[in-house]
Amino acid sequence: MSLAAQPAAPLTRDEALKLVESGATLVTGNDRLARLLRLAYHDQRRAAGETAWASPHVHSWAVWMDRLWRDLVYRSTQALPQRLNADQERALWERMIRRRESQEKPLLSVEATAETVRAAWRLTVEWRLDRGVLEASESDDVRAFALWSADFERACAEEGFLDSARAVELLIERSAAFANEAPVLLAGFDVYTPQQTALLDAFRRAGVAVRTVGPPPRQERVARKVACETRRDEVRAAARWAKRLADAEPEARIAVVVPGLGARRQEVERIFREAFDAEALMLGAAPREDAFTIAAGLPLARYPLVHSALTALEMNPDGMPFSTFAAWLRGRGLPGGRSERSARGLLDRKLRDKGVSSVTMRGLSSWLKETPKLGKAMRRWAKRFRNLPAEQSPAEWTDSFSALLSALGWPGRRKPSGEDFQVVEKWNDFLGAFAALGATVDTMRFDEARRTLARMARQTPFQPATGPSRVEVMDLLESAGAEADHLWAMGMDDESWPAPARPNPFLPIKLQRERGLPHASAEVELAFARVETQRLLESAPDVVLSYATAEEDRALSASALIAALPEGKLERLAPLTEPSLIARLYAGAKIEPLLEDAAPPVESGQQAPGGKSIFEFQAHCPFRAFATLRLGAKELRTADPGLAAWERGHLVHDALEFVWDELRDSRELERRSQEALTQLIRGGVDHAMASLLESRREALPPRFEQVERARLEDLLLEWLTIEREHRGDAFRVAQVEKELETKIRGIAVKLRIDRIDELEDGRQLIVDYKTGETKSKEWDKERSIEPQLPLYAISHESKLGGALFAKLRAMDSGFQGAVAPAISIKGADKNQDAFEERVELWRQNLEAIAQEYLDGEAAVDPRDNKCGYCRLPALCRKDDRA
Amino acid sequence: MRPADHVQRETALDPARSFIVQAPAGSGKTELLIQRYLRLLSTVEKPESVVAITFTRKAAAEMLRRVLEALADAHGKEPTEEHKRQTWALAKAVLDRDEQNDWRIEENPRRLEIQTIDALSLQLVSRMPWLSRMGPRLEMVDDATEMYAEAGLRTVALLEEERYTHAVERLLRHVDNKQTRLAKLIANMLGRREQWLRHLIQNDIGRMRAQFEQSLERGVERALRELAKVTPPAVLTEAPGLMRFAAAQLRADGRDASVLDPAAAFEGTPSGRLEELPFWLGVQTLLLTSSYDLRKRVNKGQGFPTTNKAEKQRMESLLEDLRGADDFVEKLKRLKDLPQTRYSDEQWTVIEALLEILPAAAGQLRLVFGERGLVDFSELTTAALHALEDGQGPSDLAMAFDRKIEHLLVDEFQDTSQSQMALLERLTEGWTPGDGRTVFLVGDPMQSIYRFREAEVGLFLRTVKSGLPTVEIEPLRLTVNFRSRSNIVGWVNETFPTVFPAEEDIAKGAVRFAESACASEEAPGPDVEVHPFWDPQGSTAEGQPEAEAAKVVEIVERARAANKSVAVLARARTHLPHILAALRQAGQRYRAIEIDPLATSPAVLDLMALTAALLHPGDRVSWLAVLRAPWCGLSLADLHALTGDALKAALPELIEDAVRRERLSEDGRRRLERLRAAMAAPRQRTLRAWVEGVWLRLGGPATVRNEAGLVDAEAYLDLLDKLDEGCDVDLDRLKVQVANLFAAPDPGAGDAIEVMTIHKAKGLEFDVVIVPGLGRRAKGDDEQLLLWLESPADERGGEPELLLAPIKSAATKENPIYNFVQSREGEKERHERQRLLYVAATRAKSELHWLGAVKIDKNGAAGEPGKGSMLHLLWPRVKETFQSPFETDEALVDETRKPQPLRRLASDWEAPQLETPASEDERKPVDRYRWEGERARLAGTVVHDLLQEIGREGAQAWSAERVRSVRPRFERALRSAGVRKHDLEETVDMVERAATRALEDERGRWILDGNHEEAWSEVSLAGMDGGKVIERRIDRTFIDKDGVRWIIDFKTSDYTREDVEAFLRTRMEAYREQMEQYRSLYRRLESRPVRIGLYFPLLGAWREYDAQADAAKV
Ligand code: SF4
Repeated sequence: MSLAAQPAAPLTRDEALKLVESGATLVTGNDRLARLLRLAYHDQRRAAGETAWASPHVHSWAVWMDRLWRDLVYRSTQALPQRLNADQERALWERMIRRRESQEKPLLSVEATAETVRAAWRLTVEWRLDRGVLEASESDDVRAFALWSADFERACAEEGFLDSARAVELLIERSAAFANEAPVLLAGFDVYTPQQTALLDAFRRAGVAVRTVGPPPRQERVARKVACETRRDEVRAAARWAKRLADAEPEARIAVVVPGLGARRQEVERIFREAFDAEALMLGAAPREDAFTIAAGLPLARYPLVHSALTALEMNPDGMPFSTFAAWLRGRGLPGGRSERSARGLLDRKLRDKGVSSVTMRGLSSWLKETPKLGKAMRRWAKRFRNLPAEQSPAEWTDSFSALLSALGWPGRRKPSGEDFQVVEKWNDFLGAFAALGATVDTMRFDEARRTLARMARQTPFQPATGPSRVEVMDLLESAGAEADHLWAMGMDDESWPAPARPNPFLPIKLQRERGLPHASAEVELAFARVETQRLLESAPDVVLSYATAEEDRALSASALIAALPEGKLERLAPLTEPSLIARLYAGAKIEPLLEDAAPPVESGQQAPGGKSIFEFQAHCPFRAFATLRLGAKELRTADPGLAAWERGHLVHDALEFVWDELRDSRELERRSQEALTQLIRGGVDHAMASLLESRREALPPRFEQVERARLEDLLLEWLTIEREHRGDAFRVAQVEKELETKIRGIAVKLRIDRIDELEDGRQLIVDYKTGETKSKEWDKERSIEPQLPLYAISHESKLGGALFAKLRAMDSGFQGAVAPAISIKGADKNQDAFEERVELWRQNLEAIAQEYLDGEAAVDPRDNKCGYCRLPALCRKDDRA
Repeated sequence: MRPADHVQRETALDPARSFIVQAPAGSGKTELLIQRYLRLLSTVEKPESVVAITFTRKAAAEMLRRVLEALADAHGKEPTEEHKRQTWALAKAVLDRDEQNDWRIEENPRRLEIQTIDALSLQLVSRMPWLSRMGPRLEMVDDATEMYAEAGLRTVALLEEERYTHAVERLLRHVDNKQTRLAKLIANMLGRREQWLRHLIQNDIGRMRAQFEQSLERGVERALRELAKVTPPAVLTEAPGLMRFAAAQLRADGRDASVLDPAAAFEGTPSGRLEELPFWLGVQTLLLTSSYDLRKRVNKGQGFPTTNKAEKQRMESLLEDLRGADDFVEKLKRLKDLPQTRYSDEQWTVIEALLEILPAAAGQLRLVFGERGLVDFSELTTAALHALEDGQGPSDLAMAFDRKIEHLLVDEFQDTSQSQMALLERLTEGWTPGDGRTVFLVGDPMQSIYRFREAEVGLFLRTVKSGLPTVEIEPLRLTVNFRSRSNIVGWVNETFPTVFPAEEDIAKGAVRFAESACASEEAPGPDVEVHPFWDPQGSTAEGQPEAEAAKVVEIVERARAANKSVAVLARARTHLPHILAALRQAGQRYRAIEIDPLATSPAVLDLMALTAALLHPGDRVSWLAVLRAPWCGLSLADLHALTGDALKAALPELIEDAVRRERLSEDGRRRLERLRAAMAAPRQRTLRAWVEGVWLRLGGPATVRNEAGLVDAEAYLDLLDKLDEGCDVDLDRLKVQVANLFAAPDPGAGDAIEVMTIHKAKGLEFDVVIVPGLGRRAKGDDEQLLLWLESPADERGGEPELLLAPIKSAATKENPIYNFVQSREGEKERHERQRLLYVAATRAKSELHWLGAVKIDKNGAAGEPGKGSMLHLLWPRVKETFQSPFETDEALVDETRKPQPLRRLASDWEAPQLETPASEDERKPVDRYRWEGERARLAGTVVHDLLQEIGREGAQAWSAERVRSVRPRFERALRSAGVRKHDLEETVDMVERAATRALEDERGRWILDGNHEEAWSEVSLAGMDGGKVIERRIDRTFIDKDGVRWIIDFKTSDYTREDVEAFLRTRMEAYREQMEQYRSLYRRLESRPVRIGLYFPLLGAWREYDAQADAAKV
């Protein structure tokens, strides 16, 4: 490499900063180092007693390239191509890939492919790879890449674009324009790509002084390795270590290197917060700004305000999944803010109780009364939404998005607090970045625009600005040139260090290996890890390298690269001087038994809440009855798409009601022909459907409705056959859907019976339609969980001839139940003689259950130890009582 | 002493030959595998050429570790122990090779390719992202149920899409129009698509029907063949004549002879062809009653009137002969389950619909995968296969890996699935005999227990028989067991020949037992014990869990007293709760591996309620649970007082109601106050921070029962972090995800007592093994939309048998094909059960305890164990133990079920004192984003750049024409910021107008004058401001001829309305602070007077700050 051949010895850091003072540009290998050196420069000036000075030119390589390009634009006489930013490049690559996609087997993710292809392209340009090799490759993937690249280049040429990698080539070509540039100093580069070398050589040839800055010399240093149980324990130990040192040496600079920090940011932040600022964590306060900094951002989409905005943009007033609406309701920055928070909760609850699985503005309008601000905002929003054009440019979409959001009251307060303020500002910038996609994309449809926006938000890291701190947590790549008084680097176990090779799949692996491209092969990774290990060891006088001894169920040990280091003692480096907050709380527990815990009886004279549900619940589990009926513990259900079981039951009920209204008695049933009955049934189904669809159209799109109709018709026809064939006595339908109010032990119960048939001798049969499981055997149990018909039977005032389930299930229909002597119904219980005794038994059982409920019996004691569909374990704490 | 099978063990190390090794439990196969691996390493150029495939990641890590240890040891002296010497020598050779070729394995252990087949597939796919159609950057999920469900729903919604309407409608009708049910059934199918997707690629449905019906035929023929095989010769000689006779009699009697007639007409020797079916049905009618029992006697109803003594006697003596031929009778009886060999048209239309919809469902699933960037393992394997099939096979492989695979080693080969097998075949494609490449397959068919993950033991059997397509493989068999004491080995050798089938059957996955020999002889002892229990109620499916649990505790205590390690191995998790409760009660701490669902841990339930309550003010159940949880612990009376008269209200409102709070007891009020304070914590950036913070303030950690509770809480909070989408989570999704997690093992328990399922115990060993619940059955599978059963062909290259049957429709009762396939499935399942039993038995080193219960029948005698139970398999061997006199103990039952009072935090508990957080910072307003504003800002940037350039060269060098000539440059810049073509003109005009205006304006020219001293544009300054370093950029600064420093910022605002003056004033105010900062920075840099002002090029306006004030100073 020609840089190595350069005669001048590397500059020391102080010499470099001197040169910066006189105008030199200092270029660093990563952002963090640029920040660090800037700070160092400012510190020097301060130390020199100055209070104002010219800003130094200290930039990372990428920023330097941006600046050079801008300068070139102004220095060139003719117009230069348009340089693309990363998002624009991605969009263009996606276009290229899509263009060649066949319909049959779509790529799982074009977006991810575009990203990797873009990386391959950068490598090709920056490492100046031979393009001929690509085209001739035997690998299908490499050849695909060669094709896309050719397309990409052509598109760039046609549209006057230039990607950022090739922009550097142009800088090299025009290096003469920079002849008068101030000296360039380079710091913190582990390797130079051929392109970087070429650029620097060209600058040098143009007469620009180029110098490198060496790492500061270290005299004495202590380094050791230390074993931690798991990877998380490594973070914990490092946090304790950093905290202890920060307390002991307030001026010391402490660096913690976490490879792959980006993916573990939250975990690392939480552990450091706990170590540095447990109180704030507990109080939900923002952490002290200067305690530590973590040099990694969280995706913008993960910030609550942004998440809410993206959810809001997923909404559609003409039909959206309930879950989307519910998520928005739970979110941040809503109209009505805190004042309508509870009302919004109740709104969600009501919709769930109603079984709503998809939401439209029309269906919603009657529900918004309790949340007037929300309602107003949503109406405004719906109007704007419906006025959206089908297609427009990204820039125009940003306007629409912003308008939709502001209609919905986002971001809530006009003056958001600290972090929120930064987030909203960032959001505005972000929309600007989205608008810039317009450079490579003409127009987009709404869905496309929204999805792209969401994806970009997931890919855009953001970190609210914090002050500088003496304790810095950083990723491995950011640590080049890290200078600290104390440094801890983790992840040095033999599974992760050296890392497995990750060659770019779109470039020939052999070529990558031979050229020593980053991550190309095991050999490259080993060499890289060696260099990095050495560098880390030289970054501070005091270095700790840690490794985990286990991960999940695999045992690990120290990487061979650090095997030679002396083993440090974890107890000494990061002693557990103070137990963690959780441990302290756990140890300080003061637990007592809750001994007096009787539920209050229902006050006499008071109406007992619950009605007929009392009997089922109390019989099943007394606590369930108490909690559900007297404390209002009704769970939140999430409706499945389509009709709920009870709605389908209703359809059957309604249709049968219609049919019997017409038929009236068994004679008429006998008399009618099959066709006539089919006709009648069709009428019944029409009738039932019409009343359901009025409110639930969205649950039953036309084709689903068709299938449902056909099903109902078959079922009902089968049923009428059963009514004809399974019954021995003539009857007339005395009443349908009859309501009755009664009192059992003073509990007012409202009952509704599907049908009452009267026989010729005047005895009446009560009939309950069932479309689900039926268990008439249940009726005789002491604690019956099917109390409906027994309840009715004991309250029935006319002469009772029987109680029947009419089970309507495809191929499984029929009667079930109990009848008095001399009544013939197929499927009814055989012991007819005991009918009256049974009814009496039901009465006793039901009254006993009623009394229990009134007395406040609320034992957690489900019948047969089976909780069934009851969803109250968190409240009854049944698992906490063993 | 060398083991008895040492010849096999040595042969296995021959690097030039390929082997498949059957290695029974305890035979030390891992060591053998490692030795061979080392041997191969020392023969290759690159270590990556040897690929070892293990069953789990854990096994891969362990094998790698052992290889590295062997290498490390090889640096030392040769060991003295005989059995270590060989490994040492092999490792030494590897070290030499490493040195020669500069491998540096020890520094770079990742070069050793030891991994699971999934990891290998992932490697393949990520090296061929385009060819495999998977794209790069794949993330794998172990459990994709959520995505299957999503795809299931989307598939049902295809009803609205013309192309699929018909098929979806057909299926909907089939399941009674239950959309959600259909979606779930489809989701289930997606979870098993490895079984069917491969076969559905071909679209010729007619051909498929023929193929499936052929399989049905073959299924029937197979059954007939088996029947023929066990048919006693007497039946073949006697039956035809008897049938002829009986048929004639019946006909004469005017009775139905429709079954016997055709049977009687049959000629020839039955050997299992389809045409023989009528014959066999005739035999069935002849010999069996209508309830399919062997007839005891016959009369004229069957065609044997008393008048024909001779025939009747012949018949009866035949029946006599058949007593005891149970197998024959059983198989004859089974004929009733044989299906039609043709699908009915109704069935076929359903299958047709399925064949259409299932691939569409898989397509929907891919879309879901693509959207989430996640895939499951099965997608991965399929993609790897595709990549290898679509590409140029071996050469692609070599390209992708940058090397050739020369040797493949596969561990646990008995648990290979069909698609993994296909992958192996792909990997060995193009291998030729003598090219030096080898495979080495190790496993034990008797231990194949992963059918539920598509493992197909038949593949092992077939490979023993006929190798791989391109590789000849020699079978080897190890026989020595180094693990168990001789009594256990003996017991297993005696018992299992009858547990396992007598004959191997590749299609049915039937494995024969292979004996082991014990490595060493010891004193005999009561090493294997069977503990019988009797279930008097006979109604529960659980047998006698309390009694069994008590026994387990007894054995555990005894074993611990003798300092032995113990494992309780259950067939299913659900068989364990009583045992765990009993162990806890006895004070024995155990490590339970993936046994207790996390969702039953009280700490987690409480945290879930807290999460829901924080997110959802309308969630009453969760709010009540939070009030009831130990950190608050309101009594029922207080709860009722607070909420009982407002059953629909949101609880936060009730809690905030001071009057209402007065109704509570004093203690209750104190508790409620504590809760209110904690719940008021503000929402955080992450959900975890919010929930955990509140939990801490509530004293959550103080309420858990033990350290395990803390670990559970952490696991839950980690999950929250994972699912968090921005301080929010879908609560349903959270519930599902929590349900998939297991409570952590007790961190305070050592590993002396372990509790796990038999599946988890694979590969492990313990001193004492206890297997409870032998009498119980495992929970059946969910009903399948399409029952799909593939059995490997007996021969390599043969057509696999493919049976399928659609689920019973809502509108039909019988479904013989479904039942038939299910019974075939049941058979395979039974064989798997045999192997599971074997695995459990062979985990034991020194003691083995079997526990199981049978029901007591009506007569008070011990009944037979249920068919699906493991006890049923052992029955012949243990029957006597159960039939000995017994008594049952019912007192046990009640003892374990006494409810305990609730526990809660004392009401005077206080959170540790903490400093109060600083008050909120000052708030600034933000403007709403508008594209107009953004465009103006962009234009402003361009204007700035241009003015900077003009300023650098001096206004003198610029003219309106020159500005016009650089218009294309602005255009570029604005275009690349996204300004659309139709806005472009206008925006560029604005830029031009600004620059031209500045150049025309006298003040503008003066500002941009190049002749000023120290005239700079865009200067950056740094300096101190209140103790902090600030950096600021200034648009324009210079020193005028009077020595005054000017600092000027450009503002490109446009303003077309009346009151320009007022507008300018507001702008001035807005920038005042910033401009003063500039002034202060310069004042510190130099001592000349500094004047500051704003210039508005578009308005041609200029405003100076405090003009007089500064002027006065000059
Ligand atoms: S979960 Fe079970 S124990 Fe709890 S209230 Fe419901 S039924 Fe009763």
